[in-house]
Amino acid sequence: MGFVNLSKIREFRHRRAVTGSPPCQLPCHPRWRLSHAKPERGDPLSFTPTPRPRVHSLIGASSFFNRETHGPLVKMGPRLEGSTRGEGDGPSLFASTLVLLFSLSAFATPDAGTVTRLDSVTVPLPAADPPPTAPTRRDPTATLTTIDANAHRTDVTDASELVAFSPGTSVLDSGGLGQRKTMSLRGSAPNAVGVLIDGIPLSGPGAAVDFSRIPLAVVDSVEVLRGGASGRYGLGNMGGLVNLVTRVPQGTHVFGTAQYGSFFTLLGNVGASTPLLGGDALAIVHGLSTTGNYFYAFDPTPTTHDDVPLVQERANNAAQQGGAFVKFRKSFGDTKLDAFAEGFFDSRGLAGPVQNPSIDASQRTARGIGSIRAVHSFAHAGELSLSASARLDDTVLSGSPFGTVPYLQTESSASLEAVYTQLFAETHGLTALASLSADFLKEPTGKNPKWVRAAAMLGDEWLLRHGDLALNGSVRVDVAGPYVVFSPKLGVSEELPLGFEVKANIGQSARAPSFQELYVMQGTLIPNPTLKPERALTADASALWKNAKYSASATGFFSLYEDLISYEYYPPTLARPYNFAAARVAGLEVEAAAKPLEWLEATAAYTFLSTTNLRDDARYYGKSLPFRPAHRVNARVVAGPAFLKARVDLIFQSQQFQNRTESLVLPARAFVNVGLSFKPNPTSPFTFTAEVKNLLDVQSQDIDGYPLPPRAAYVSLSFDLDVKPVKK
Amino acid sequence: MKVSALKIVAACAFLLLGSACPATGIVCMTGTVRCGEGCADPQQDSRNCGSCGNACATGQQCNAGQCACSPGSVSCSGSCAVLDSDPKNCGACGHACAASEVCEGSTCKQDCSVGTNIKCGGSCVSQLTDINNCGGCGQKCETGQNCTCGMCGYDFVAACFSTGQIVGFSETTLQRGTLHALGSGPASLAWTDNTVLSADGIDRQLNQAAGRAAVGTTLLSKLDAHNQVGAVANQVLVDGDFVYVVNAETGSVQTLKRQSGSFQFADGGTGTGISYSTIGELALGTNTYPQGAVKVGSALFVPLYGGYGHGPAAAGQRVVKLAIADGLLSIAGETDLHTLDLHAFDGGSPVARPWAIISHQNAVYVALNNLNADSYAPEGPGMLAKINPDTLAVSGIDLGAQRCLNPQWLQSDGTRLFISCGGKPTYDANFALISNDNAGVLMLSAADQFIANWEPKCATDAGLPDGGSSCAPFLPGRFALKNNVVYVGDQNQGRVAVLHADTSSLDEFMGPAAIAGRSALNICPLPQSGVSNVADILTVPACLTR
Repeated sequence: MGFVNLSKIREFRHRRAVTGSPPCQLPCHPRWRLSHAKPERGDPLSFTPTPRPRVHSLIGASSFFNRETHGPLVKMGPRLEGSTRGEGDGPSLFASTLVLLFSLSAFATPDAGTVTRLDSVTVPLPAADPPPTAPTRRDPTATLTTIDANAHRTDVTDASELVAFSPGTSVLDSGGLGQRKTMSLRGSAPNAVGVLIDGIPLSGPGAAVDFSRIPLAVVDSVEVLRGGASGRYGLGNMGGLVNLVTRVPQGTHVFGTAQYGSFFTLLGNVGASTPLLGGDALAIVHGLSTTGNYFYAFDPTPTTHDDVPLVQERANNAAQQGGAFVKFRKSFGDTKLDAFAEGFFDSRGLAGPVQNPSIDASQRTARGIGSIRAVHSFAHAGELSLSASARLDDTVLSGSPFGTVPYLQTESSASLEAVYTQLFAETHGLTALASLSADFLKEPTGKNPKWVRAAAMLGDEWLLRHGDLALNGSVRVDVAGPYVVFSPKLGVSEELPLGFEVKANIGQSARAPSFQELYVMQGTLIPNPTLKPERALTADASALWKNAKYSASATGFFSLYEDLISYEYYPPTLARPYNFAAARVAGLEVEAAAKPLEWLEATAAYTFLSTTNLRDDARYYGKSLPFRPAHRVNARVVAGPAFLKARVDLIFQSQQFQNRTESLVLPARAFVNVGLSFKPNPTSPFTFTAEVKNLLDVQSQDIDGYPLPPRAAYVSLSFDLDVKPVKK
Repeated sequence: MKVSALKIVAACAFLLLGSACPATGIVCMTGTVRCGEGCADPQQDSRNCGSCGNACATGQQCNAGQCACSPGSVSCSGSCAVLDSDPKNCGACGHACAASEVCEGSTCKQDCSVGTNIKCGGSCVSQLTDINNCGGCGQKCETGQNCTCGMCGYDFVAACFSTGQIVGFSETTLQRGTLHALGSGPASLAWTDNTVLSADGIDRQLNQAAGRAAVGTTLLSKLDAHNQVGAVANQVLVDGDFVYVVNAETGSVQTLKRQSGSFQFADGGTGTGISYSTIGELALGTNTYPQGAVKVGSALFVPLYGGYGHGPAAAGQRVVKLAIADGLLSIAGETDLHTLDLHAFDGGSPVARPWAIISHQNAVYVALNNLNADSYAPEGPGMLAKINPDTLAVSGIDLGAQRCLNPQWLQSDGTRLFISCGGKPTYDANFALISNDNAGVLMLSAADQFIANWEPKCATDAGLPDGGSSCAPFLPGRFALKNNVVYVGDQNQGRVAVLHADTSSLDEFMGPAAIAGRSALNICPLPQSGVSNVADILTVPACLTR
């Protein structure tokens, strides 16, 4: 389970200090109540103190950005499902976070007899408790941005657009909906960014996740944890991780979205939530189809600069996707059960670079994920979480570049995890984690590598100075195949007056080479079984501030990488990966949000990134790493009454180098998106949206030879209908 | 940019938890070591021979990390002396000329008598050819260099693709010079006006280096002038004021033209180089992958290799003829190789994969890799396409599967045609290259008949004692041909094999068999990957060509 949530204790103490209210045991805290009391379907969750002592993790609170279930800095537009904003809470209600490591919660001897009754407040249905894998529990002092997917249900078309609202991110887009998109965090390589769906990894060890294959329709929110995270989440995650929080079964309602737009693009999803077998169940199906045949400017003679580019149509760039998701949760006394299954398939053309396109290359994939978790709370302030998960990922590559026989690859993994947390008094929590996993890869050459992975982690979490200062630390050891990796981490945070908070983290992360890098020949890429893990030392420090209308944060970060893996020429016509030297990544992330008027909201995220090759000869030393733009801005302004909102987005990134000597440059670009959302009335379950992406029709690319889509227009209709409305 | 020590210290505070900071800082290029504030090549640098600060004595040069008397000199009582001109050892060690005499032609004389000789102290030397007095008294050329036209230079320059370096070596001493950084992946070299042009396959630049210059400048040092080229520039061809660059991945042939008055001959090592500008670029189509170019009359012939995979491969398998008009190119015809009989092995279905190209005996010869379109595995014997440059008619020449698979490069001495064959590599279970079969160099007569071949073999395979040393597979690539000697680049370990081409035989003089202890020249250093590719070998003209 996650780490002891001493932050909850701290939060409560802070509130007490501010309000001067009498001592109140933790169970009486409204947030605790919301997080842990089993919601009664159809009942209003008015706050009623629970007399029975509970020992539970206080999860809910967390970092500055998600103290409210969906972070104020990124949440835009109406939330279709109930948020857990506690109107009656003071500024300290969601105090922060801190603490770290491991520990998980549990609580000290609550005294039912001292419960203080507070005024009843009405709140919407709660989201599910964050699971032990949630960054808010496992790494509460980390820099975290939570993005509400519901607020973007009709204005983003894939997950890469959603995560781009977080600072520190940089997407490498091969062009077109459904085409491969990977993401760098804080200058890391894409294969050093972990992506989890409710805590379950979406990729095998050391491999990059394709964001176009993330089923956005099932996502409730996205947590972007920036900075080295191996100490809490295991190997990989050197740049951070993205945790996809899926939708939560709540009451009886149905929802869906249909979207149609340029390039014959059609997206749709429909879902329903209902009580089932004494618990709550949710089911969603979704699909996507696009031809991807947009026009782009092509210069077949790039060394002559005055000629007029050709306008060509992108061919073999279509994509189709489909999937289903089911989720079930139920409580059995002090044990809570949570399970989901996800299935996904896609088929897409692989257009190739425009200089040398592929007319018949294609990829088909199918994925299945299943997970079940049980969390039991003990009366002695302990909590045990047991979980099991499995993933199967099948890929078929066919067409000219792959020979006459299609390339078939099947990845599979299974994992067990146990986390126990114990709280000692109100100021000290311990967490212990043990996990066992197995990974398999079946591939055409018959190498069929497999690994057993095991991990153990211990975390300690303290609250000091009446809860204002939180310290956490953890040590984690991962054994993955032939590698043994040590990943410590230390975090601290302090709450200050006037809504300020500061926090800092330092740690070590690592990425084990992927199966492909180690064992599997793929076309002209051959493996190297002698590779060492990549390693990173990371540190960051943040200052945060917020009040009722405004919030802002600034985070400085610094990382040192070594033994980075890169492919080099191998005779006579191949390439092979090797470990290389060292690099430094440093930067600044700034977020701000403002809602000065009821009808006006604005958010902005800015990232400055400085990367430096730290160990190389004079040609490369001190030069920037390729594909890391120095400046990136993602800003949004929303204006209008609740029934009619207009939106303008600016997505800018500066030029980036394509090679180590800085002689090849991809130019800067700025995309402007505009949108208009309309609801027939403020309480209507229907929302109509019109969206124009890349309004200025900027011709651009993230990867040389892979043009990004030009101006495109979409219209959509979404609905969220409570079949059995919750009583207020 | 230097990293703040404070930041480093802050990050390294984590040492307390058992971590270690990575090593940082400038490192020397592969093959060089740090000596003080700079880097030196300990194998060939006479100021740091074998180790930093170990300077060779007067008259000595550094070769393979050892100081020895310069070529043309001998040791006399522990000192190096040129018997031909040393007045203290004139004609023989210890035979000193009188104080008023000079030594010329190993004879003591009253004064220098040969017209081109100058008097340097008591020596009569040719400042045009003497490596110890090149262009002036006391001006010494360095290891691997010769003296031509009063300037130091190399006979050959090799491109080390894997390490981003170029290096010169000598035809007479078979010694190499020091290593010089030039781009990230020099892929093809050309020569013009005492300048080396290098098309970089990674940085998309046409770089320049000082090729021949007066003493005091650093040969092969990078010059300022450079031009953008397309992706994967595989060949550079100089034709007077024009330079043609074949951009394989871009699928184009680019024309650059020299700007008038830009020649910077005199200051070779420090000048800005030659100023070129791109005047045209002919797109040959997607998935064509042009690989080379040869000029015949007023036309360029360019082989189109085709893309990876059987579909994209179809866009190639042709040789196009490009008409030249004041440097600008246009398509004037083509030879289709799709229908050429490739003598496929049983079960094979190769495509031609036209690669290298040359003009020889009034015809255009094209090396055909003859590979499976998808796997790049040889599925037919190494072949040549022989094209009539006027009619564009083509015929095939089978080089013999046992002698040659995957032909790589072609050179002609006017009569005979030489072909290097890359062979068929074999990898072990961990993809380490363990052998290479059906590789080598072939020599054909003017009538296209086989004369002789050389097959790279390690000593034990050749029935010779191996001396206990290991021998990595030799993958022949591009090569140079000069004075009946073939210098073959190795795409695996950065070596150069030296072969003597007699009228009826092709014999290894220096190579992997290490006959009589003569191993292949170690030209390009081995980087961390353990793979070093001699991507090209440029034959340097004897003197100023313009």
